[in-house]
Amino acid sequence: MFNQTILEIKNLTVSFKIENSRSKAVDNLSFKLYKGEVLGVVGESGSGKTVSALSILKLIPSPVGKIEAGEILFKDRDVLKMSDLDVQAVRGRDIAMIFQEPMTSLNPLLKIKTQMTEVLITHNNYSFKKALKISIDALKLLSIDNPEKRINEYPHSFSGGMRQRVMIAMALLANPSVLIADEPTTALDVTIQAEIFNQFKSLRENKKELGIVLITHNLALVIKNCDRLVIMYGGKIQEEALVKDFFKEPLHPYSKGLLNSLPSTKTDKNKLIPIPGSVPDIRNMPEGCKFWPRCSSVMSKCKIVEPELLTVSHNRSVRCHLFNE
Amino acid sequence: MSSTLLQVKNLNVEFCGETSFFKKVNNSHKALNNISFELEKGDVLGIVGESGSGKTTLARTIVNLVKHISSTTKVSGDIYFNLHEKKLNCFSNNKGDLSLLRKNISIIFQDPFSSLNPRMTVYQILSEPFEIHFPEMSRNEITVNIEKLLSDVGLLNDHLMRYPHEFSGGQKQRIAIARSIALNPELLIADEPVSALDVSIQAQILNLILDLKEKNNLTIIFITHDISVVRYISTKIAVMYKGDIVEFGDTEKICSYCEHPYTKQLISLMP
Repeated sequence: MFNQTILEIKNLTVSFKIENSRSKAVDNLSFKLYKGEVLGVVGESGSGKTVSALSILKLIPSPVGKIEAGEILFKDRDVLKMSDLDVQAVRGRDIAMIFQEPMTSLNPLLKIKTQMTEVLITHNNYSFKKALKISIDALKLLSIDNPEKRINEYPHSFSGGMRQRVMIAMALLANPSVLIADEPTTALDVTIQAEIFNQFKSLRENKKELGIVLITHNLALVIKNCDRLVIMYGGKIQEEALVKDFFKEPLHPYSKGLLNSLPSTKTDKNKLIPIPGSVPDIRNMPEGCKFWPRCSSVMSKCKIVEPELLTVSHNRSVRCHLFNE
Repeated sequence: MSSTLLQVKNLNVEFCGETSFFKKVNNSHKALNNISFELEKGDVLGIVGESGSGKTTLARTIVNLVKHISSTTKVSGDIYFNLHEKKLNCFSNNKGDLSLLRKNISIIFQDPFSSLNPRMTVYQILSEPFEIHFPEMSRNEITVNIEKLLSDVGLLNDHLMRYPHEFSGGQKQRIAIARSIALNPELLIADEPVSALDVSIQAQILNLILDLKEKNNLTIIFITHDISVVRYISTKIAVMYKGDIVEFGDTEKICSYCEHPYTKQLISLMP
């Protein structure tokens, strides 16, 4: 269905300096994004999902954070090897990003029109007038009432959901081929969340080429909106699968645990089965498999050797010794 | 045998906004609009609604944390709390009544990171309720009580001398829960207790709250924006929308049949 790779991350390792030692937040991460698909990246806090998204655009704060190794191939060019000027041209124009908090990602001192037209003036060399017209159309597309008037206002007069819609409109202005959405609706109400995802859906119909990376901790969103997903834990991919296969049968014990700890309406009121323990600190990662201290099917091997990411079938791989036969 | 524990009658809360020195600014905002409901002993009431619908204001008004006589807030209506055949008015100014209420209604806040004092050890945090409400209690008795609390919420005795920053989010929420059940309250109000936590930790805390309910025979008001959590934990649901309770009833009934369009939308969005 999807076969043209648009973005490829190869063996990415990112480390952060914490109290005079370097700890790996993302460790040897590889995945591909195909044209036209929505890829869900799922993980709990500290699993490295945001860090990997930021590295795609070379936004890791230096010198605290450092990209130790790896390649990020976008249209056969390595983003990590580009000069700062070249990366700036890619950011926003080819790869756009929506951040988690719409409250803090807009500049409170600039009018919406200044912030929106800036994208087009910088990347496409449009005149202000032309840029303004396109911006207004973009806002209209995301169903913001009376955009001609609203675009003259400051971010504080927009509600959270509207601000996030402005962010989405802004991200899509320059017609990017990849959109990275980092927890785009976590700070918003459920009904507004649904509205935003409806916008995403109509967006996919209008722009068939656009590849979307949706970073989230919410499996319910992934089931409704994604084609494929990767599960991250401890800076590594633990499972990679098509969404429909995953929910039919999750393979990794962590994935099973995540699904079991979600209250659902379909099953009866059984008691939730939580995963014991908590997410490990990156300074203090366990030896061997990153998940073994919390795993229900732990073996002695897991505590010593970290399992490799094993391809089980087409589009499906898992990092667990259970499947290593 | 059931008996009414909490009665809320025609409760109105209005925030009037600041009045400037030069002009009178009229931006009053009605946070709660004529709310009435009753809660029976042993119920778990789930309150759902979007942000700004008045869920938290309702909780804070019940625990008497909203100043009801001030220039910026107007509160009218009554809240009665039935305790051992005694009817207490939650807005009373009588110190004895207030202290009884404080002992029997406790609250867990949304954010465990800011609801624990960073300069107090876990021991100090947990001993404070006993020191205030049972001044005659000896150190030893308090320590025994605290150790029991810790084991109830799944923490270890070694944790007692640590400060909040040394714990993870889930553990902090456990400390906050331990503090809220310290005095064996009748009513526990949990204001989005799991929203700030990771998915795998959420289930741990939800199960803990349910276990404690069984053990201590608690009545719980559980506030959340996540209707699937409410369906899991509660026996009754109140759906709030713009300061009104638009739907109130048994959980299963509302999940299978509801009238208000907002509730319908919420339920259709459940995973």
